[in-house]
Amino acid sequence: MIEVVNLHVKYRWRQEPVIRDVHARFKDKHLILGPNGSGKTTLFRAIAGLTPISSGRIIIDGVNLDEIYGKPGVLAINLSEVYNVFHLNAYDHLRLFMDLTGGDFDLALKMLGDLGLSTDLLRKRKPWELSAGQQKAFSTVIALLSSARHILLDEPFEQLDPARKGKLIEHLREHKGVILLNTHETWLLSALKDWSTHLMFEGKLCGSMSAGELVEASLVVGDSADAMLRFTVSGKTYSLVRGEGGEPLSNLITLDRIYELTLS
Amino acid sequence: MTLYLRLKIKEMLTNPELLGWGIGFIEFWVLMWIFVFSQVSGETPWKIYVMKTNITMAYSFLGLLSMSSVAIGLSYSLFHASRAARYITKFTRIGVLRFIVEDFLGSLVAILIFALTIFLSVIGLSYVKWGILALPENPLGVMADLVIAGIALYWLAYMIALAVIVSRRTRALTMTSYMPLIVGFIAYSQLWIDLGNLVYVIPLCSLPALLTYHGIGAFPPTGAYFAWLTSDKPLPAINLRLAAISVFTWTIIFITLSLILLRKSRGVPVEEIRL
Repeated sequence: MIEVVNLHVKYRWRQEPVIRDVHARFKDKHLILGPNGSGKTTLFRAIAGLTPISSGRIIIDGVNLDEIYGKPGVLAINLSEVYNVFHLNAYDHLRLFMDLTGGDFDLALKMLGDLGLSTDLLRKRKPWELSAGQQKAFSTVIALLSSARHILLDEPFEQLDPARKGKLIEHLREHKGVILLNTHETWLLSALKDWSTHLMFEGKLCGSMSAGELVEASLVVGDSADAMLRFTVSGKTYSLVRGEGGEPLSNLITLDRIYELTLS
Repeated sequence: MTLYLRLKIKEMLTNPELLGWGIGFIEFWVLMWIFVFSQVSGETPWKIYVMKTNITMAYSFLGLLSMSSVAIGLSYSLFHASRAARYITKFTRIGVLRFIVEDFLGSLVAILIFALTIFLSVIGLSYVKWGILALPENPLGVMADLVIAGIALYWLAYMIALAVIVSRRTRALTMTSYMPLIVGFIAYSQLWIDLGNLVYVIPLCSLPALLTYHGIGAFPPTGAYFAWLTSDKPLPAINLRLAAISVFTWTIIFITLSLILLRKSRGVPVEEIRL
């Protein structure tokens, strides 16, 4: 289980916090839904210890994150920046990370093949020479096959074509263990209905509720009495209500459109 | 040998930029030194001694320059892999200590291969020109000096990369990463300039003296090596004990500062890398 307690993150001391007072417990499969710039990736970086936190604590399986060193099997993340170690090809990087984490190299090659990255391509290109979608698929497969109990997937479907999105969803469903997946795309809600979902806006995390409930919810501007969930974006309050009382969330396609609603 | 170590060595020995600057560029100066700048010839014992000293100076100074060039690449790669390093040390079976040791050993092996390439090419090409096989008087001493130079330059590069990361002055990397080469060129300037007692103070400036001593067996001066080689005017000899203390002290300073900075480093987000 990942426990986030009173987390605040800011990149520079004068800057506004990117993450504000986040409290959460993640012990199953979770979606974190939020528009671009809402702090989703920063939250993942903080959980993986890749960015300094201003205050708060992160506890993984009862151990403070600051005390975790040299522990394979605890956590994996799909940020491509952590898989660019050497000036070498993607194949060597894959070999390295499967070796360091006890992952299944042959299965990783097969899964990458499913996602359109042939062994030949991996041998020819360095990780950063792959296309954006290929880079995402590459780092997602390494994270999924790292034998980690907790996996953080940052926008894993971004720039993947529909066929490969379907393949990846299959792999996610099969995976045993805790997964936190962040995205701004609402179509995922109907594909992963049994996942617990949190919303993230302007550095604040709210929720959770099941993706199945959320996919049938509507967004209403203002404070509705029968709201399942309320949140504030750019000083404006929104309520998520059951049924069709407002803009169906699934119609938004991407949560970036929330800002258009703010202006309307 | 672990896979990380093997890949580290493979990376450094196949990186075209490192090969270009660390070997290609320096080999050009090896050729210039031996075939253009060195006018000494003759068969008297004194002339042969002068030629051997000249050859020793060539591999000492140019070997150091090659290692300094490679250290620039090291700073860059350490900087760019800082996030990966943080992740690897936390969530893979390589802990912090093992990561530092393996990264250091891999880099050291590669740096030494670069330096030995320069050393062997100087020996080989001087044999082609003069028919003299100028093997070092004390090969173990020369090897030890090269290892110390490699250790010092690795930690200098590491210290620079970490200082940039910790201070979040990412744009300063381009300028600061050249510090090892600046250090290398200050040492190189001793071919013409006598730095006097500054040779013990400036980082790694006394390394060529140690290399020359172990290479030819003579006590070199505190600088102005060409004048020392060609004129009859005596120059003050370097204190080799102080020279060794200077090199060790600087190496320990680089290692200590790196380890202090390492504790504070959390890597640089990709968004902040604007070089």
